[in-house]
Amino acid sequence: MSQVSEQQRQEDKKDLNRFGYAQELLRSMGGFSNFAISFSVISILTGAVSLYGHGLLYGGPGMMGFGWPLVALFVILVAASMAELASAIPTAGALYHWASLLGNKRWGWYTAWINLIGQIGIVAGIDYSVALFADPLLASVFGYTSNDTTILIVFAIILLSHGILNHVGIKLVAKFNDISAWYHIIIVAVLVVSLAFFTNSGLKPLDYIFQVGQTFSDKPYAFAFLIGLLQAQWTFTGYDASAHTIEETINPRIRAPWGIFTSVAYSFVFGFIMLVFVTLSIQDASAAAGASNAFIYVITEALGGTFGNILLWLVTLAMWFCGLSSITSFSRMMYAFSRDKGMPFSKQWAEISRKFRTPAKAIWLAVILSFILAAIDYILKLINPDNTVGTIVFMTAISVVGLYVAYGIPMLLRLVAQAKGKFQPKHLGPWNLGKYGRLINVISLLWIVFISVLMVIPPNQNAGYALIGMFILLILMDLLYYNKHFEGPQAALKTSMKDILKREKELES
Amino acid sequence: MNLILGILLVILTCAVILGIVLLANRNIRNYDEKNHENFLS
Repeated sequence: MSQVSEQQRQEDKKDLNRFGYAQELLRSMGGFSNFAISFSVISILTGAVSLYGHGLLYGGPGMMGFGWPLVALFVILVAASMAELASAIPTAGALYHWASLLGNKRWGWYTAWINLIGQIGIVAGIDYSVALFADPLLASVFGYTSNDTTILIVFAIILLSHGILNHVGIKLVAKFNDISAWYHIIIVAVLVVSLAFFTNSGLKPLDYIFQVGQTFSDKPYAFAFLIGLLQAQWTFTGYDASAHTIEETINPRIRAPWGIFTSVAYSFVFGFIMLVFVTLSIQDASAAAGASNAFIYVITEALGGTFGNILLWLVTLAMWFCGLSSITSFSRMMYAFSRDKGMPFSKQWAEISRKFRTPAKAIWLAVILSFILAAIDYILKLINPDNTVGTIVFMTAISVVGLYVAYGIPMLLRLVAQAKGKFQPKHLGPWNLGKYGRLINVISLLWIVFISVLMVIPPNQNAGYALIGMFILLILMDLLYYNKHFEGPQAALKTSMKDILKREKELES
Repeated sequence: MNLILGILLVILTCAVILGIVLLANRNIRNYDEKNHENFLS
C-alpha cells in the first residue's frame, strides 16, 4: 500500500471520527470501485432489459427514443443534488444521516425506513429479473417447464449466492463490481455490434425509435407513455450505493460524489445506445409487446435461437452482478441505521464480522427481506390468479417510490436548512454545485413528486396500496416506540474519541 | 420532425451532464479546506 493512500486513509478515518463513528468497515475502495458499485446497481442490462416489454407495451418505440433521455435529464439533476450532500456529509447512513442532520432525528428515521422499503424492492426486483431470464434459459437446457414456482426457486438460489459472496468480503465484492462495470460495457458493445450486423432482416430506419403515438395497451397514448416511464425510472435507481459504501472508499468526499454522478451519466449513454439498436431490430413490435418476455423475444427473432440464447445468458450474468452490488448497498444502509439503533434488534444488524469486516447479519437480513417480498407476491398470485400486473412491475414501482422519496427528503431539508441559514456554503464538501445547487435541488424535487405519483396510479395501484400499508406500519412503530427511544446519529456525536479509538483497536486485533 | 426533437433532447441531456461535470470540477479545484466546517446539525 502506498504511503499516500495510507495517509489519505488516516485523513478519511479522522473525518469519520468527527461524526462520532469508528472506522469499522474496511476502507479499501478506490474511485473506480465506488463508481462501479453504483453503475452495477443501476445496471442498464437489468432495468432497461427486464422492463423493456413494459416500456414497449405502453410507450411503443418512442419510449426508447424520448422516454429514456427525458428521465435521464431529470435523474442527472437528482444525482448531482445527492452527490453534493455525499461530499458534505460522508457517512454510510447517507440519506438517513443527511436527513437527521439537516432536519432532525425523526426525519432521519422516516427517511431510513422509506429507503429501506425501496432497497427491499430494488434487491428483490433485480434478483427476480435474473430469475425471470435464467429460469426459461435453464428450462430449455434441462427440459422442464418454467412457471412461477420454478422462478421463485431460482430467485432464492440467486439471492443465496449473493448473500454468501457479500458475507465473505468487500474486497471480493469490490473486485466483482469492477469486473461488472467493464462486463456491462462489453456486453452492450457485443449486443450492439451483433444487432447492427447480424439482424435477420436488417435494422429499421433511425426515426423508428422516435415514433410516438403508438401504444399496445388500452390506454390513451399520452397516459400510456407516462406509465411506460417506469422502465427508465427504475433503471436509474440505486446510485445511492456510492454513498452507502462511502466509509469503505478512500478520499470519499470527492470519489463518492463522482461515483454517484458518473454512474448515472454513463448509464444514460450506454443504455441509450443499447435501446436504439434493440428497438431498431424489432421485427414485429405488436408481437414483441405481447410476448411474456419482450427482450428475449426481440433478440431471438433478430439473431436466431442459438446466438440469441448465448447473448441472453451473457445479459443474465450482468443482472447477477447487479444483484450482488445491490445487496452490498442495502446491507451497508441497514448497518448504518442499526448502528444508531433505528431498527428492531439493531445490535444484531450493526454487528461486524471480525473475520471478514462485513456486516454479515445485515447482509442475511437483506436476503431474507427480499425473498419475503417476492414470496408475498407469489402467494397473492396463488390466491388471485387473475392478477394481470406482473411481479416485476409491482416490485419495481415500490423500489422507485421508496428510493426516490428517500432521495428527496434530504434535498428538501437541505433547502429548508439553507433558507434558515443553518446549512451554509462552508458546510459544502469539495464536490459542490455552487450557486446552482438550490435550483438543481428544486427541479429534482419536482421530478421526484411527479414520478412518485405516476408510479402508484392504476394500473399500478397495488404498489400504492402496499406503500400506504407500509407507511401506516411505520407511523405505528414511530408512535409506539421509536418516538421516545430513537436517539439518531446525534447520539454518536457524544461518543468520546477514546471510545472510538478503542473500538477501532478491537476490530484490528 | 420527431427525429429532430428526439436528437435535440439527447443533446440537451448530454449538455446538462457536461455542464455539471465542468462546474463540479472547477469547484473541486478551487476548494479550500481551511474554509470548510463539518455539518453536525
